[in-house]
Amino acid sequence: MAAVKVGMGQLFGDVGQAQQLHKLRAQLEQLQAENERLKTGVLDERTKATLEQQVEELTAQLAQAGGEHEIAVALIESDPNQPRTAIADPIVRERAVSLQRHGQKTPIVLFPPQMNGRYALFDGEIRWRAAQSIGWKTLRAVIVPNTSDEVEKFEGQIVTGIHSQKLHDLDLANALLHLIGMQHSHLRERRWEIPKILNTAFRRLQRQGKHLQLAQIRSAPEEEQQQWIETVGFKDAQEQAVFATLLRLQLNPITINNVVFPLLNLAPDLKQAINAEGLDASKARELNRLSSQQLDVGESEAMSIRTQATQQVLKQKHSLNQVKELVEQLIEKYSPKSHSRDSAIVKFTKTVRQLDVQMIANLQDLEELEKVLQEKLAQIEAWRNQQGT
Amino acid sequence: MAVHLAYAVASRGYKVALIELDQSGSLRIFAGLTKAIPERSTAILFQKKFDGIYPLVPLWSDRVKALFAIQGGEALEQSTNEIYFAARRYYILGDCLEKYSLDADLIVFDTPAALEPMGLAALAASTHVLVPIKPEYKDTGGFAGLLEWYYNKIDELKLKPEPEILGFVPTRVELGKATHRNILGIDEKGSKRQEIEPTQTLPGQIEGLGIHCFPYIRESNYFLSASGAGLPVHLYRPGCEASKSFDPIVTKLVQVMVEE
Repeated sequence: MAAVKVGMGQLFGDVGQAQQLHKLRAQLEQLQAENERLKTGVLDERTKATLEQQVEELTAQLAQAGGEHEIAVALIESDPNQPRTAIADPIVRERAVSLQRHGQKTPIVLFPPQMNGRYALFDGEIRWRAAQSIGWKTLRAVIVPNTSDEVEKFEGQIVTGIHSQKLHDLDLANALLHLIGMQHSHLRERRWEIPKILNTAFRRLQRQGKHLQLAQIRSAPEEEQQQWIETVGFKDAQEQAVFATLLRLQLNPITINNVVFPLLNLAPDLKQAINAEGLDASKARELNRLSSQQLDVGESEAMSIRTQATQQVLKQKHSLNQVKELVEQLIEKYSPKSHSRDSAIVKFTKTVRQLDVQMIANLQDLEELEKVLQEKLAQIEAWRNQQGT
Repeated sequence: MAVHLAYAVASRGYKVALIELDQSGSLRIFAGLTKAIPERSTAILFQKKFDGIYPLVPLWSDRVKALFAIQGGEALEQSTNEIYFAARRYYILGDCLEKYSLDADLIVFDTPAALEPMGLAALAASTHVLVPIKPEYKDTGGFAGLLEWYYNKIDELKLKPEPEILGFVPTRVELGKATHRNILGIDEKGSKRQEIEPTQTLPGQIEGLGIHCFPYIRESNYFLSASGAGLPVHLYRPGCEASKSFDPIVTKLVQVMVEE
């Protein structure tokens, strides 16, 4: 990532956390030791009182530093680095009873939310498991403050995610909105408008034939990117800001506009299937066509049809083509008239599908084809965006 | 660095022992010594047969009363194995010093850049850690790694009482180099630059972690020439700026020694 400058905050990104952890570990250890002594009963009343006060102070300190929050139990996940992997069920049951009887005495300790919006546990694994077992929806929690430069750290996480290809396009879309909002304060409160801003700017570039420069400018040095952004004719600072972030991450705005951001418009049940069951983005996009409008049915029925189809796709491990066929069939079944097919299009689609790219010997032909297809794709996407599908 | 510092403290009348944990054995050059045989080097401290007689060699005994060193060198390569095979592993250096006390007010461990295993052995035997760092990106990244390492290892090794970070000191600073100035957030005259956010500087980051930052030590030809002459800079060029730049660290060390 030559385009990302080395910042001090980045170099020290993990140190602050390591230090914080060390301090907390030390404090907790001390308290645990005191607790042990408490149990053995060698402490007099006065010492006990002091100790309890200390416990309260530590928690209060944490609560003040990170603020105390009600966090959904479902959004919390076990710390993978938690050395204590096996916690016996009886302990959890015991704690569950205690929670029901006395409520939650002290907040659990969490790390700030990750890109997927979930919180990793720092302290309170047993309480968390106990809460789950008795159906509690939320727990009081404090967040361990992260002293590192959040923006750089977050950007670093995205870069790592892109490189390792572990980041789902939907996560990438959400992460980008978040990052652009963090980097450009004027967009923070309006980050849901970012896809629209990108789309408008991109369409303009396309009309002017300048969108073809993107492939090259994407891998250009940062100064060159900046210069391009300033001179290419964006309407306002918002458009510039969106492109600046994307190019800095060496992402192609065309892909983000046509493939990644549209995922934000997916039906909630499809987003859920992506998050929980790892549904492919391309398949989700196809399934999303099963809307109430396309199927000509009510919202809840559309959702039920979509959910069934999604389950079928996941269980039977359908290929993308199979998904497309399934979707076509379902639309045909529920709303035959809206689907009178244009035979020329059907034929063309078939030709394209059968085309063996590896057989194209002439590089120029291939580039020409790529260009035409990209333009068509963009037009189709634009049309879809207008239609709101 | 360790040599100059050890000398500076010794010159104030304290007993100082310098223990070289580096295989390169560069102390030999800095102090104008001959190569030590394995039995007379730091390697002996890691051996089971060690009988408590430290192979100390006096340094510049005509000028300071009590500055001694134990030389490192090639023999330490074998010590690496000894650490890994010992039941107490990283603790053996600390154990050794506890069992056979070394008559010194200050013991300085000079560790190599690689932290495994000598850095850990030294950490487990230390009360304080002083980190010299050259203000360049590679070294800064390395330093950040060291801090992270430090916090993790203290917990891992359950060191009680914890070795404390005495501070860090930017060394070999060249004000003519833009990188050095930018990283330290200073101008060519060495004054603080207002336009640089403190969080974007090395001292800013470090102080943000609550770690003390000593005034920087400038690169000086005297250091290079002094090492060629086998002398600490304080003897090579008494009263020069380079030798005075150690004063704040010496003062702090003395304060720590007196308190304890």
